[in-house]
Amino acid sequence: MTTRPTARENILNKLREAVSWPKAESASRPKIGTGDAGDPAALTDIFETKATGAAAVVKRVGGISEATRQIVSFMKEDGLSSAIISDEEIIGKAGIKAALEKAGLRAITISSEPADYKEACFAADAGITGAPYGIAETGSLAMVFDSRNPRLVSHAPFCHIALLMADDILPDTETLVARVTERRVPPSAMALVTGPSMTADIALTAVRGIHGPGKLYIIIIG
Amino acid sequence: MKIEVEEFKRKANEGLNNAHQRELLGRLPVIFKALRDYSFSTLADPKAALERGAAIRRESIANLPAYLEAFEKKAVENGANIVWAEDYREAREIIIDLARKKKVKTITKGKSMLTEEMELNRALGDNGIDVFETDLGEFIVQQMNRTPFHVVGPALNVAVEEIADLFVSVMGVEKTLDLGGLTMQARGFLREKFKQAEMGITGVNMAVADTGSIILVENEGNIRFSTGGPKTHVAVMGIEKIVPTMDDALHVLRLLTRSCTGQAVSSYVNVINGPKKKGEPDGPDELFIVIVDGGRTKIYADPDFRQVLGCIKCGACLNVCPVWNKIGGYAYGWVYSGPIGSILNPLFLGLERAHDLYHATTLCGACREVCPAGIDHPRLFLKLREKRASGDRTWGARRLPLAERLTFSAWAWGISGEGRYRTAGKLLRWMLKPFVTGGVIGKLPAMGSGWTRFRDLPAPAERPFRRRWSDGERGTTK
Ligand code: SF4
Repeated sequence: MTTRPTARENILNKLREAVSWPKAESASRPKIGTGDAGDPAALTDIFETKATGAAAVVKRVGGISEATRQIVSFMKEDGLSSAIISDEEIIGKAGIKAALEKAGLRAITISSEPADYKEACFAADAGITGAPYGIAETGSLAMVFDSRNPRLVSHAPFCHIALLMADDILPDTETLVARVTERRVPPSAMALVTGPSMTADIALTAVRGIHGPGKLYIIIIG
Repeated sequence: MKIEVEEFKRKANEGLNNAHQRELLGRLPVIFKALRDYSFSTLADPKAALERGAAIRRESIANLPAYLEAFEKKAVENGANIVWAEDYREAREIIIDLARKKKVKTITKGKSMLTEEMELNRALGDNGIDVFETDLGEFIVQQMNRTPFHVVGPALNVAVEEIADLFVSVMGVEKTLDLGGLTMQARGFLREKFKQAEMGITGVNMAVADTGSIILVENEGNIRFSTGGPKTHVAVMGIEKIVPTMDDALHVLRLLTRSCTGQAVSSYVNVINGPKKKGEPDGPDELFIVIVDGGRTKIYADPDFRQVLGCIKCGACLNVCPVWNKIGGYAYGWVYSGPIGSILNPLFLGLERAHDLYHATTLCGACREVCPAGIDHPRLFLKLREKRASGDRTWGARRLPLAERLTFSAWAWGISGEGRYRTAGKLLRWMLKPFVTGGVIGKLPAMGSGWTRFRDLPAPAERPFRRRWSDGERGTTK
């Protein structure tokens, strides 16, 4: 699929030929404080308040083994029997696969079923991933997708359980973007995730879990 | 989608006479206002935030060609394919062609007003390709074959009972009136489509010039599926969707979600830089960004109307509009409704065809006050009226009929001389006298009947103000 040779030039030329707006009218851009997330020490608290306000369930734990136990208990409480888990370092460190299996739950890794990867994501009860960053201003998780934390693991199952290091909570999205663009190549895609999937399209009434996860658990470590 | 902008009066009446709709519109503005007010109160300085938003949009539009080129360059570096289309037909053909080449049978689609403008779904359907709108409201509208009632909530007026019956006939499910149940029926049905789809088509909320990223805002997660699952992602954007920098985009985002739904941020904000990278098990193999003109360069060329391209389609102006809140969204007869629809529909379809829309405004300015893009709607309504009155070839406006022009010329002549004014006043009082009943004129014959069809004229005073003034009747009410 290519552009008809003249289409691009025609469009740009029409725009270029249009009379320009008087210069004086282009207003300056004051920097706007976001009102929240001013105090770095309080970032985790702010994050927790905002995420909870957006209907995520937030749990703070002291260390990684406690996080693993917490995942198992979330799964049991909700009566979930299978989870697809991402391939990130933190997930490996937490020994989640072994812990789930020990508790009699099914754990599917993304590398174990590459051919059926998509099907496995849709079939699992829960998706367990890390979240590279949290955003205090809005209580959002910043999912930066790559081969170890791909898109569907955190989105296709009805329940998403995310591990977030307290140190990775940033004040706002501007800081996030600065952090991510420090890398040499930008990620193919990112998603800010704030609370579960939601709709109010029928009768203006909010219902959760229309397409994406209806439940979002965030475990903050540290 | 049938274009029915000419039917404004009839459809406005239908809206006014629809009891269910009236009840809904009674509640709607209260809810939207509360949500919006609260969400803006969490910003350090809401007014300055709005001003900055307007400045960003103005700057984006002012230097549009340069930013478009910069965006293209970056996006190509990131691995996206950029395709340009001058009009709706060309854009449709590009997408259909691509779908055919890739042997696509099923497409899942995110909500996009531009693809509504260009009737993409009909064209795909005509070519034997199944396309499913996946935003719940848009899915309902598509299955019912209706126009959107509201830019943000296209089906928020449709009764639960009607949706329940629709789901029974479309999905073959058991009828339920439970909202959670209905939502799960839609989830189940569209999940299968997400699994099958070989192509996802979405719109674009913002295209960032300095990074080549596209940003897509949603609450449901249907866009995450449509952009993350299928092998091909086609994003369709109007040329006006550009913002200069990522920081600008993040600021506009704060205003967009607050203005749309009163949220500090939506459930999902997708920032897409390109197709999947090596080793990623999901994400599209190819990303196509189709940049469409579709009448926008024409708006750009007219400095009187150019500012309207700054619109970010948040829907806030509808929610505060005293007209929209009485007649609802269908009266506007095309893709856009409310104040923004009263500007865009005429500019896209013709000033003559859609003239009722920009005349049916009160010029109260509530829309301008909430607009995060700094659009001066009342000024644009007046410009539209002016261009129609004086006739304007570019915008398909004939001059007013001779009789009407003569009437106004006579009126202008009549009021510009004291003697003429006094005589005309006397003459009118005498002529109108027979039509006065109970202090008002409820019905006039002939040319005057249009004026009195929907309103009463107060009866002319027995003694005109000028007389009372000169008779020394000052400082009293009688
Ligand atoms: S005109 Fe302004 S308020 Fe109305 S939809 Fe566009 S951006 Fe929103």
